[in-house]
Amino acid sequence: MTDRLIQLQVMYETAMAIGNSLDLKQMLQESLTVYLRKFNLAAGAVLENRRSGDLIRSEPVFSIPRAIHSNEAYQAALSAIPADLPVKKQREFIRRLPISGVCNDMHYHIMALPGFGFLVLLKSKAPLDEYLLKSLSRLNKKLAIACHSCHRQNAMGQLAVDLEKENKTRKEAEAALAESHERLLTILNSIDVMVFVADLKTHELIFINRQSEILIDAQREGRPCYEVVRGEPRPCANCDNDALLDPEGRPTSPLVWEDRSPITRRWYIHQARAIKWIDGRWVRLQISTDITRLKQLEQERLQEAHLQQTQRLEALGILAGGLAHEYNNLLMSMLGHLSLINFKIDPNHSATRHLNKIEESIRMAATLTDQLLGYAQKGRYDDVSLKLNALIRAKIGEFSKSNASIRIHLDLAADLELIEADQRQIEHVLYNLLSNAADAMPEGGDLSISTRNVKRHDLRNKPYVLDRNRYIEMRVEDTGVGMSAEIKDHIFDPFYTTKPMIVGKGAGLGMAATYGIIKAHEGFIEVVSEPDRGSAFIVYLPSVGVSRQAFKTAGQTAASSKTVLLVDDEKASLEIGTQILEHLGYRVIEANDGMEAVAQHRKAHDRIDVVVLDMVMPEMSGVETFERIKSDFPEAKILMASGYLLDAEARRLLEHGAEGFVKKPFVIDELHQAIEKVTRPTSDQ
Amino acid sequence: MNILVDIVGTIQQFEHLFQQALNVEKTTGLMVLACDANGFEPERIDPILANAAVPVFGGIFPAIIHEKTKMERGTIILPLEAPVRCIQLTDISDDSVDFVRKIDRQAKDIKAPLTMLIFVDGFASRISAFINSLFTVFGLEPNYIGGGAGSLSMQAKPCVITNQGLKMDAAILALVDTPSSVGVGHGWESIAGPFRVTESRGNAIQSIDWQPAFDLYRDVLHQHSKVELTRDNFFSVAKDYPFGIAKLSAERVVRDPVRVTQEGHLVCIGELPEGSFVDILHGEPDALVAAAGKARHRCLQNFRSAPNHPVGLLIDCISRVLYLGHDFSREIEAAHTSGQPMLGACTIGEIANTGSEYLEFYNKTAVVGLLGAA
Repeated sequence: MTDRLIQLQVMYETAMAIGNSLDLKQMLQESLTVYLRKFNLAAGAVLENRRSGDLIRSEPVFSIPRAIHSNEAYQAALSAIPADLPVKKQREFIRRLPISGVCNDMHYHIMALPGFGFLVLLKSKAPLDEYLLKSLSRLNKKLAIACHSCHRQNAMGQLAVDLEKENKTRKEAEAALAESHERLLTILNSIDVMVFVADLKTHELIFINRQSEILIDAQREGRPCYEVVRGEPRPCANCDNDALLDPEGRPTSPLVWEDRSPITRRWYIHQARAIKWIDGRWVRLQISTDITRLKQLEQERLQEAHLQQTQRLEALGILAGGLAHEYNNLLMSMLGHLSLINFKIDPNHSATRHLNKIEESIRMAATLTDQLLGYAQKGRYDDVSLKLNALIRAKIGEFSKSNASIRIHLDLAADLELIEADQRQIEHVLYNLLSNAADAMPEGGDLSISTRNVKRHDLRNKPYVLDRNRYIEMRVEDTGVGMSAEIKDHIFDPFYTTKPMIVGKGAGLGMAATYGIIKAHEGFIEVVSEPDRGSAFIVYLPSVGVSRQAFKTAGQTAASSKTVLLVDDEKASLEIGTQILEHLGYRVIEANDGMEAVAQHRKAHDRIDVVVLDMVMPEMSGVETFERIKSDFPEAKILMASGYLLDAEARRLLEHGAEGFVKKPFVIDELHQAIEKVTRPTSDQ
Repeated sequence: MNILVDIVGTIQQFEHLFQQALNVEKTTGLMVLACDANGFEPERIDPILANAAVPVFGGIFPAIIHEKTKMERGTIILPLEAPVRCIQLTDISDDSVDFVRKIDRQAKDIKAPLTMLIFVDGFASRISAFINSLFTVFGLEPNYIGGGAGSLSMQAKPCVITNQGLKMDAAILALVDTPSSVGVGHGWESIAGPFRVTESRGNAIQSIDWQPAFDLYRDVLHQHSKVELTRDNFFSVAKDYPFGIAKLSAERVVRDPVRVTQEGHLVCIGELPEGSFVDILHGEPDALVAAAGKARHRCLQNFRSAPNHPVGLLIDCISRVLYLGHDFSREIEAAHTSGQPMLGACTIGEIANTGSEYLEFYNKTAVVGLLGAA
């Protein structure tokens, strides 16, 4: 094989080995290895041109062997390459290449790598011939191009690295954001409060936490908040989205309120505010905390307080009732004797004026006992179906005449249902409430009275035992001085007053009697008041519907001669009662207790027209006596008598055959009318 | 230098010889050349090697050489007096290994020595890459002499001797601060070519001139020798017809095809890169023997230091032994310098560098070296 053929083979193999990698170091390792091996060389190096301003310097970038710098021939080759040449001068130098030299028996050859730098080859023994050096220029050109390609790849690689770095940074930021989001979401989904975010304008739910999803049982994002949270088909009537931003578009203070969710049926305290969402729009952030348990506790506390107040008032009521009973018996005796004196003396007698004064005082004292008895819930003598609105209008008419400085506002429900009550007692309640309002507004003010029908469901949060389905509500509200919490707590206590103690008025029994009367009518009363912010008394009374007509029984005063069995354990009461009845023309059979009454009635039942039976007696009570007499003689006519208001037991007797009720102390006309009413041959009842 | 020889080849004899070598005064390291036929197994020899307090390096070869004798059983140990450091490399066949980095890590702060003795597993598939890396790191400063260890059974097994025992797919570098010289020659001549290696992978040629490598090779050999090459007779026939890779102004580098795969790929000792041109070579015994003589001559020419009792080192390819047969004794004679002790090995591939050319991995080549006694 000729040398030229071998040269061609070697050239070909070298050319094939150049540029097989885009990594500069690896490419030069492979390429230069083939140069050295195929051309039987000792060493080789590649230098790269680097521009510094207008000058170009050539610096070694790769060599085989690596420690070529210690080779003297290589050092000689380097020194043959001018450093820091201007571009033009370097071009002139390149045109002179290849350059060869020898140092210590080692030949060096400097060749151009066009556009890149230089190739330095070292060969021992004989140098490369000129023909070969020229032939190598084409390989060198390929090597230079390969070097450029590696640089471009490196630049692209760097770009890729930068992109990768940026991508990594972005991914890390995204991961951090996702982690932060996840953390926030975990917290929001772990707390037992409902959190939602909704668009202020469209009401569209943007976010809803897991607790909300659980409670309202669905994934609701994208649907309007009013539909999901309130179960409404359209935006809530009282939607406060507009209030979350002020006119300048800045968020206002958070809105806080309590209500019961129509979806979960539980109580929540809500806090809503406007926040800026991640996309820049203002949204509603609402946080709702379940306070149902707190509400229950509050309710229990109110009920407990109410119970304590009720028990206290009931204890006071028993005391007041007992006192009133005793006191009433004495008044009855005084009034009875006074009535007899009036019958027996000449009306022109000089003492008549004094007697009238005495009677007036006794009647005022009786009014006081009435109030005490009212407080003691013993005052329901004569229940009738009443139209409360009519009573209010009547009372307001009187009230306005004497309180011209007070503006009166009525808001009375046209469809207000009837109540079954003692008219006189209810009028007394109205009087007390209006008087109290007038006293609270000495300089004048506004008095509002409203009525409406309410159902038990509407009163479910009240601390009362509700055993009726329907009630009427009467609200008496003033703009007066209001009450402190302490006054409010004792407003219904007997003899508790903030007014000056004046004889005949301000005895502190008005509100106590009001309370007792309302309770006796199975209603309840509450007060809402704060100092300087007025007071409101809200009265609830059981409703009896709208079918009954209100009526009031007219009395008759004509005397008749009939036989009355008068039963009373109080000797004084028995005496005066007998004298009054006899004065009215009745024949009277006396009985000192229940046993005697039953015996007397058995003995003389055929001539006894009516029994006037005291309800409060020791041993055999009025009720038992009633039942014994009725048991013996069902047709017997019995009037119950008592200084107390009509209690439940007496009312039961009225429903089971008692003919009526007369209040002690006896007033002659009232007693006469009652007896005549039950003994008339034909009754209009 | 005192060469210690055991011709029995038992482990006991080796142990005795090894201890004897360690006891030699001023010993700085031991070069151990052992025969494959000794049957040394790692379990038995490793503990002995581990006892050495000085660097130990070498290999197990199909045959070894002492003076003018080729030995197929036994062991030769050369105790060195010059400073020796060893670098052991593993995973020579692993494509992912960066040899430069690996050598750098171990040779850190080591100055390039005057002589580097190299023994590598001859059946490793990346020997050329390994050799290139050596040259990149250590450059022209040292003289490189060495060869591939292994067995004629063509089966890979632990064959590189180190202080840590016998190693497979490994190499041991002994960096010795003693002057040396190298001469290389093979004597093979082209009978056909050039052919282009159109496909190759490592040390396996897949196709030549776009034909299956085995088919083309078989046809060429048939034309030349009229012998029908088969898979069964491949080694015995192919040993006479190696490949030659052309170099400019130098002898071809020989590549020895040692077996054919089921796919018809020709497996050589050392790589043949894709795109390279190869000739098919054949040799006459006289030419080969003459080449060995030339190698000795070059070696002597290259040896520049004073002849301070140097030791001759012959690294000769086992396939030359097989090819030359009885004539191999003539080759040893040609490589031997009168009055100088000589030892050597019949290797699977040879490594040599004269100090003025690129380091090369040869096959079917005689490498003659001289080691100074510094």
